[in-house]
Order: sequence, then C-alpha cells, then structure tokens
Amino acid sequence: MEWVETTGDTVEDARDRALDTLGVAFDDAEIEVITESKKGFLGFGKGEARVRARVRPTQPRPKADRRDRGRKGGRTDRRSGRGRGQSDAGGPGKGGRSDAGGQGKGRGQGNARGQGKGGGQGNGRGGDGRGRENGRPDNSKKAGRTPSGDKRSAAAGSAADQGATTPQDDADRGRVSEKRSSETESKRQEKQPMEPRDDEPVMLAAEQAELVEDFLDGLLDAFGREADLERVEIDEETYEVRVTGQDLGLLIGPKGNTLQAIQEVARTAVQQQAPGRLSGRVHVDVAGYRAQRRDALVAFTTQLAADVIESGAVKVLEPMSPADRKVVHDAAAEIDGVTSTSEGEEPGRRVVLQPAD
Amino acid sequence: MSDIDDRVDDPDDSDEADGNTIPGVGAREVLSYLVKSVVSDPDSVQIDASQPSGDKISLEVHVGPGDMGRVIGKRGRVANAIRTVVGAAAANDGLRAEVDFAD
Repeated sequence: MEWVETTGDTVEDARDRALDTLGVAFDDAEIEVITESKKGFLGFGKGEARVRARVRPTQPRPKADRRDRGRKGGRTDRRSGRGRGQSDAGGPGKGGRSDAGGQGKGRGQGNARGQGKGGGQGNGRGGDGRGRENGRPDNSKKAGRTPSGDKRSAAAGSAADQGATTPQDDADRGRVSEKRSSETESKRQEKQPMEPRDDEPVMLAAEQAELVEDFLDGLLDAFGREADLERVEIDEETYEVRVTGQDLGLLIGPKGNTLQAIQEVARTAVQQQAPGRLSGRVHVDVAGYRAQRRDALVAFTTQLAADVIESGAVKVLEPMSPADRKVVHDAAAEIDGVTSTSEGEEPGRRVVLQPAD
Repeated sequence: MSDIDDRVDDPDDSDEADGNTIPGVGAREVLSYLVKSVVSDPDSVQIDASQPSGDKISLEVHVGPGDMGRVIGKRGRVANAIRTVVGAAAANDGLRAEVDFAD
C-alpha cells in the first residue's frame, strides 16, 4: 500500500483528507506528520500542515522488503509455531499467495473448518487442515494462544535475521512519528503505543482472513444462523470474508451498522490472536451488502455528478464511513467536470461534489 | 452433512422449544461469544443477566484483570460494536438489550 501525502489547514484536516484518500478509518491508518501548521492566533493562513499516511501496517517495513524477505521465512516460522499456518503460505513468494486465494474460495476451506469442529471431512488443505485442527479445537482461542510465546520468539528471530537493517530504520521513523502525532492529536490516544517493532512478526491479510472466518463461524453459531463463508482476495493487502445464506439481514442492520460492528469486533479478535502487527485489512461482507452498496454509491455519485455539472451547484452528501467516501471519491475522479472533497469531523464527515474549474 | 444440521439447528431449537429458556438467551450467547473473542482470558468472562423488564434485558459483562481495555477499545469503539451486534441478536427475539461493562 502506498503512502499518500496530503495537506490541510491543520494536521487534523490533512489527516482526514489522507484517510479519505485511503478509504480507511483512523485506527487502520498509519500517519506521519511531516509539517505541522502553526496553531497561531490567526488559525489558518500561518502555513499548512502536511501529513503522509498509508494503511496500517504495511508498517514500517518497505513493501519490497516485506514481500521478498519477510514473507518466505517469516511464514514458515509462524506456521510451525502456531500449528495453524497456511499450507498455501508455505510456497515462496507470490505463487504461494495466489494459492491462498484459490483455496479460500474452494471447498477445501469449508472442509478444513468442518474438521476443526469434528466434522472430519475432506483433505482439501492437506497438512494444513490438520494444523488447524490441532491449533484450534472447538473454536477456542486458547489452543492457538498457548504456543504464541514460542512463535513470537521464533518469528522474531527470523524477522531479525531477515531484515536487520531496514526495519530498524523504519522503526525509528515510526517511533518519531508516533510521538509527534501524539503531541498534535492528544485526543487520539493509541492504546498500544508503537514500540520499536523490528523484531515482531507481521500477520498478513491472508492469515487474518482465516481468523476472521473462524470468528464469523462461531458468531453464526451463537446467532443460530447457518451460512456459507468464503474468503476472497481483493488485492494483496485486502481480503474479504463473505457470508452468504438465507435471512442474514439481521447481521447487516440499518445502514450496515451491524455489519460494520461485526467487522470491528472481528478485527479486535484478530488483534488478540495475532502475535505481532497486522498487515493489510480484512473486510466482512454479508449477503453481498457491501458490493451492492458500492454499486449503488457509484451510481448515486454518477447521478449527482451529472447534476453538479449541469447546474454548476455544489452538492453536499450525507455523512459516510471512510470506506464509502473512498468509493465516492474514486467514482467522482472518473468523471470529468467534477471534483470531490470531504468536510466535517468524523462521524459526520461527508463528501462534497463541486464543478471542476 | 448430518453433523452440520445437528450443530446449527440446536441453538434455535433450544431457544424456542424449551419453555424454561430465559428471554434474551440469544443475545447473551452472542455477547459471551463476542467478549470471549477479544479477551486474553476467555475463562474469566462472565455475563450477568438481570430479569427482563418489558422487552428490555440488561446484561453485565465481567472480564479478567487487564482485559477490560481490550473489550472497550479506543474511545469505546469495541464496546459500542459489541452493543450493536448484541442489539441485533436481542432484536431477533423482539427484545432490547442493554450491555454494561463492569470492572
């Protein structure tokens, strides 16, 4: 995931703009303040703030390093430590990754879950299915957790071996930026201060997606609902776990609130189980809600943009989540004759469409 | 496939068929699951339910030492997310759920 750099009258403005560009919430982004505006008596006009941000945590390791080194070795360690790593992940490099996506979609995955619960069918995932079963019988996290100490140090060792210099530099930078952002944004407290993390393993989106799937599986049980789960790789940093079945409106809620809440708890659950940092994102979709919402938003934006172009009047949209705003911005960017910005504070932040000059 | 049927249908059956079931058991089960998913010590999680008054049930969450921060989350985000999901579970039974996080 690339860095984006934005400016604003204040650090907060610049940051909000960056979050819009990325389409993620504050908690999912890593933000560095490059220059702060002077919060002088005159407010704005004393120089603009500049920040850069990216989706957390593609953190702090540069992409190239993470792909080429972090991956291969780090994964192997993770697997042996956890007893639930992905067999797909064992393959080095990108070949292994596309396997991950494919397996997530196929029945192999479902079989592996069934096994964990005692269903005992199918060897779709080969050695991996067994690994999961050992690591997490009956949906309990404890089994997965107990060995995490070992795993942590094992993976830590490998990470240190692999990326001795670069991560160190980056970690330093991360520390500095953390400190600065906490100065400028005292209201946004980080509960887990970013310590130097050069020795910590990174959990990739593919692996998180498995945990999210397990979480959703248990949640559906608790709800007494039957549904199919499917993991889909959107891109290297983004997975989507899709829940499909009958009568799932309950899990979506008004305006997708329940769905959003489920995703929030899922993320927290993954953090609880992750030995280190999370890389990339996992979205949850229920009954195609997100996809539909995306399509509807694009259509809506297209319609509004036509109005704006025709009338020359500015249109202010209703408040939306960062992800939704990104959809609108992306859609607007495809249309000649309009520009889009965002204004207001979360959770009331909204997109404004205006005629291009 | 029979194993799947057993598993999935069980909770529903016990909710509706069993006359002794406390109202809001679905919400309570969901709450328990959510909280246990985010804490480091799931065994210490305890959910106290008060007698429902009208359509409202009150659920109180107790967790082990050190886990409350995780359950509440930054600016209460996780707590609110849990409330939202539990609210959906309660609404499924025609109830409203109030969730308190006690330390």
